[in-house]
Parts: sequence; C-alpha cells; structure tokens
Amino acid sequence: MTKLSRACVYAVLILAALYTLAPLWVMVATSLKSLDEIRDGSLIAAPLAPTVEPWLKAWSSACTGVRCEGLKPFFWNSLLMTIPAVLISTFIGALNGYVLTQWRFRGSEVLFTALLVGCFIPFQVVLLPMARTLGMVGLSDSIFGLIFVHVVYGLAFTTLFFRNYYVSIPQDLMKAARVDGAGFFTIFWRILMPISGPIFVVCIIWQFTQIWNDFLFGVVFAGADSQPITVALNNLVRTSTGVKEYNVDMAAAIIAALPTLFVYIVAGKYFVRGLTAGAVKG
Amino acid sequence: MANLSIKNIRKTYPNGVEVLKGINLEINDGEFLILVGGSGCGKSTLLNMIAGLETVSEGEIQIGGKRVNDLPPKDRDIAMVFQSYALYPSMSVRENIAFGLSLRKVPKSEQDATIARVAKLLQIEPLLDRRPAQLSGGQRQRVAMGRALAREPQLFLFDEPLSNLDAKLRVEMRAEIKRLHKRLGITTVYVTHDQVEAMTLGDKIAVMKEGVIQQFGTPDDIYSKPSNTFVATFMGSPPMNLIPAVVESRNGAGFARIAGDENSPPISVPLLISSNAIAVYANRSVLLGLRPEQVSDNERPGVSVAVDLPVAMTEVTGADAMVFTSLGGVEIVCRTQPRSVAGTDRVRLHIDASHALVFDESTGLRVV
Repeated sequence: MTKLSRACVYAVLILAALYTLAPLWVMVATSLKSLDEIRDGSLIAAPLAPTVEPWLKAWSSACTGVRCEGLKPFFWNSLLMTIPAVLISTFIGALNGYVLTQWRFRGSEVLFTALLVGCFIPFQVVLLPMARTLGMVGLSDSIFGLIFVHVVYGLAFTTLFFRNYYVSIPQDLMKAARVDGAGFFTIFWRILMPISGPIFVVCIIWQFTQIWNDFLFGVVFAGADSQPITVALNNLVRTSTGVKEYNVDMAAAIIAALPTLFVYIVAGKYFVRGLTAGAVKG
Repeated sequence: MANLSIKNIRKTYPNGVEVLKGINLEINDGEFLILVGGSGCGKSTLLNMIAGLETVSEGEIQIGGKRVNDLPPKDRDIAMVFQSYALYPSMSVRENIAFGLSLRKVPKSEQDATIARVAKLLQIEPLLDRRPAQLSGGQRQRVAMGRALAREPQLFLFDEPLSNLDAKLRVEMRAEIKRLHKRLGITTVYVTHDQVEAMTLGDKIAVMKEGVIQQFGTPDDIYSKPSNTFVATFMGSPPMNLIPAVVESRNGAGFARIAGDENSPPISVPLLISSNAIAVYANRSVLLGLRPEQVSDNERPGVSVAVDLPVAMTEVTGADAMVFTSLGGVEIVCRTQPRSVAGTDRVRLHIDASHALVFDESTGLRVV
C-alpha cells in the first residue's frame, strides 16, 4: 500500500470515528456544564467550570413525573429485572440448544423452525395477548411480569445462539459419554457447559442489551413502582418545572446507558470471539 | 470376557426405511469380529445397537449369554472407540480416562491405579495432563483406546477408529490394536470400510451390503471362497476380475470359453470343477472370477493358458505392476512384475485358472 492510500484510509477512519463520537462528546460535555454555561456557550465546547451537580440531581433528586427521587430507584428496578431475565433466558436457551442438537426427536426440526419465527415477531404484536396472559397469571404491574415477558421473548434468540453453537459438536461425543454412563444432565453440565464459554458471553451480552434497553415492554407492563430505567428516563426528560435542564437530561441518559457500555467493554472481545467460534475440535 | 450372539436383528426407522434386514452373528469369547461393507450398509448401525445407542426393532442381542436389548449402554459392560475419537474437549487426558470410572463411583485410589495401568500399556504417560486439543491424531486415538480399556469391558467396540489417521499411522495403529487384542484377549467388534484392516485384524469377518450379511467367515474363507460376486469384488485389492464365459464340457473335463473381442482372441481355460457342476452349467453363461495374481506373467506349464493382451495402462506399486487391459469384453487388472511391462503396449499373460471361481451370471452366487 502506498503512503497516500494509507493516509486516505486513516482519514476516512478518523472522520467516521469523529462522526460517531461527536454526540457522545456533546452529551458528556453538556452533562458537566451548569445551565448558565449551556445557555451562553457553544454546544461542542468543553465545560469551563465542570460540575457534577447535574449527575447527582439525575441520580437522586430529579423529577420523573410526580416522584422526585432521580433515576436511582429505577436503576435498581432495571437491574432486578435484567439480571434474572438474562440468566433464565440464557440457561433455558442453552438447554433448548442442547436438546435440539444432541437429543433429536421426531419434530425437533419443526419445533426449531417455529422457535425461529419468534425472532421475527415485532414487540407490538404481542402486547395485547401478553397483557391478557400476565393478568390471568397475576403478574401484571410487577417486576416478575417483566422478567417473564423478557424470558419468553428472548428464548427464540438464545435458543438460536446455542443451537447453532452446539450443532457443530460431534454426535460421537454424546455416544462416548453415554457409554461412559453419563445421563442427560451429566452430559450437559460436565461436557457441554465447560466448552460453552464463548456462546454464553455472546448470549448474555445480547440479552442484557436487549432487555436493559427495552422501553416498550417496560412502559406497557410495568407498574408505577416497577418501571425500568428507560421509562424513567423518558419521564425525566419530559417532566420540566419551567426550565429545561439539558445538563440533567444528558447525565440521566448517560447513566441509563452505562451498564450496557460496561458489559461491552468488559466482555466485548469475547463477544467477537464467540461470534466467530465454530466447531469444537478435540 | 464374553461371547456375543446376535439373533435375527432388524432395524426399521420411523420413516419406514429398513437398514438391517435380519442379521445373525455368533462369535466366541476372545474373538475379533470385523463388520465390513460400503457406506450405508448398516455396519455402524449394527455396532450402535450392540452398544445400546440405538434401539433394536426386532431380534435379540446377547452379551455373555445375557439378553441386553433393553439395557442402557452403561450396563452392558462394553467400551467403545469412535472414528472422531470423541474425547471430552474440556478435560485432560487423565480426566477423560477417569470420567467413566468416577461416574461408576470407583474409589479414587483404584481410579489412579487404572489410569496408571492403561497409560503404561499405551505409552501415553507423558500426555496425561494435556488437553485433547494439544494432541496429534495418533495420540488422540491412543487416549481414546485408553479410555475404553480403563473400563475393563467384556466387549470392545470400534467404529472405524483408524479412518482419520494418515496412511503410515494407520498401519502402525492397526498393528497396535492387533497386539493389544492378542495380549488382552477381549472379545471385539470392529467396524471398517477398509478391506485391508478387515483381512489383517479379524478372526471372523462379516461382509455387509444393504442391511444383509453377504458372508460370515474367516478371512481365508472370505478371500478364497467368496459366496457371491459382491464379496469377491469387495475383498481384495485390486478387486477380483469377473469375466463373462461359457462353460464347456469336453470328455468330462470342464472349460470356460471366453469370447474374443477386437483386442484379444477367444480362449478356453480349464476349470477344476465337479462333474455335477459341469453337467448343470454346461453351455451356460457364467462369470469367471480371477484374482489379479491369477492373470500374470508367471507361466505354469500344463496349467496356465497364455494370451497376448493390449496394455491400456500400468500402475507400478513397487514390487508389482498392475496392468489394466481387457479380456472377453470387460476391463481386467493383472498383477505382474514391473520389468515384464516396461514400455510395451502388448503383453503376454498367463491365465492360471486352477483356483478360479465360477459365479452364476444371473444370481451372482458362487457355483464353484
């Protein structure tokens, strides 16, 4: 590659990076400015007198509708909803993938195809029937109801992930384990689980992002006390007492996005590795 | 130690396909049985049924005189070695060998003793703490055999264990398996599609095709007295030549007359067959079975019949040269010495029909 073309490549990459990072910069900069500075200064200028006041307000005292306790309670709501929903849907997906690939039964392909259809059903379609179902089983307006909805909706994806990962595991491995005397769950725990690390990471990142960022299910199925942070953020931004506090809005938005950002940074390299990992040789 | 008895086994899949159509086999304690056949002949299915990995549709399997049809694999006292080795990827070699032992709640000290014993037997002691991914193909195969040996089974099952190895290693491991069997004397069932493995390893060979056993016998029986044209051409490399011929009776002696074609003259070769067979097959079309070594440059005065044939192609394998030519309108292969065919386009070959076989043209069954 010539020097000129290399320079062109870098120029394009840097431009693309700037374009992507600019909004984040504006958010971070604005969240650290006082309201006066926001009114007087430029949008992209760095804060002259940085202050964490907007962050504290967004976390613990900003008004979301009639409540003025900041995002804190809703952040915990989101965690309480997301963590069990991610773990349960991932675990069931792993079991499904195991059964669909290693214990084929009559109609297992049909079942898998039916599950796949679940990936293409838009959220809006299931709102009404799901509301009826939650009402009937008595889970309306609760975190448990949200967990249930996210587990059900996530199963199609988690099953797909694990099924595609396990399908490359040779049948002989199962046969050898059965001859050795291992049963259904022994094979799952002692032979498959130890080699499933990469796909667990992929699945957990995917599910965590989906469930944490979900707004629609949260706004429809949550009660006043069980709203996730995405709903609270919306309420916070739309609630104003005279002055629009852009700095608090920006800080709140960043707070709401931090956990997914954190998960990506911690597990990001495994994500790519897991997506490209295929056959298990050996 | 146990004998194995398979009685009228059938396997039908839910979609109605019948892959095994009444299999009967009987081997004694300590014998080495080979199941050999092409792809899809049902040999692996039969092995899986012996192992308990597939259900039996009909018939009975007995190991050591005990019906095992409804026993799960772990209760059949068997061990199995797979084509893909099937080592547990997340476990070390030691853990792979110990896995079955620990599931059967063998005490730890006994497990260690067993691991030490099989590791010594197979010379895999330096590998015990490695993962399967860190082993070569041959080492993996040894570990897989070690894992099977650790069980001290009554019956050893091998499912094409050498197919994934390169040619040199395959020969080495073949000898190793034979040595182990000689030493331990465990009854063994071994599935392969490789007829050299079948001939060299087996005490008994069952040649299978489309779910039916074509012939069950000793390697010598299978080679010298194949029951039909399938077995005749499947076992032996290069395969037996089957040449259309007509049986003739002259003063009570039998001859096979091979028609000429554009390259070769018509010839008659003497047959050593019973007068009954001559009477039955006189003037009928048959297939004359000649091994490549029975059409060679080796003249046996008074026995062999000489013929000049065009050389279509030769393959020199080192000690021998395989000559591809045609006789009686079909392609045949002959085994000669390399110097006999060097640079010639016609070659003088001698047909020694004293051990030739005769097959019925319509049924393919051996007549003589």
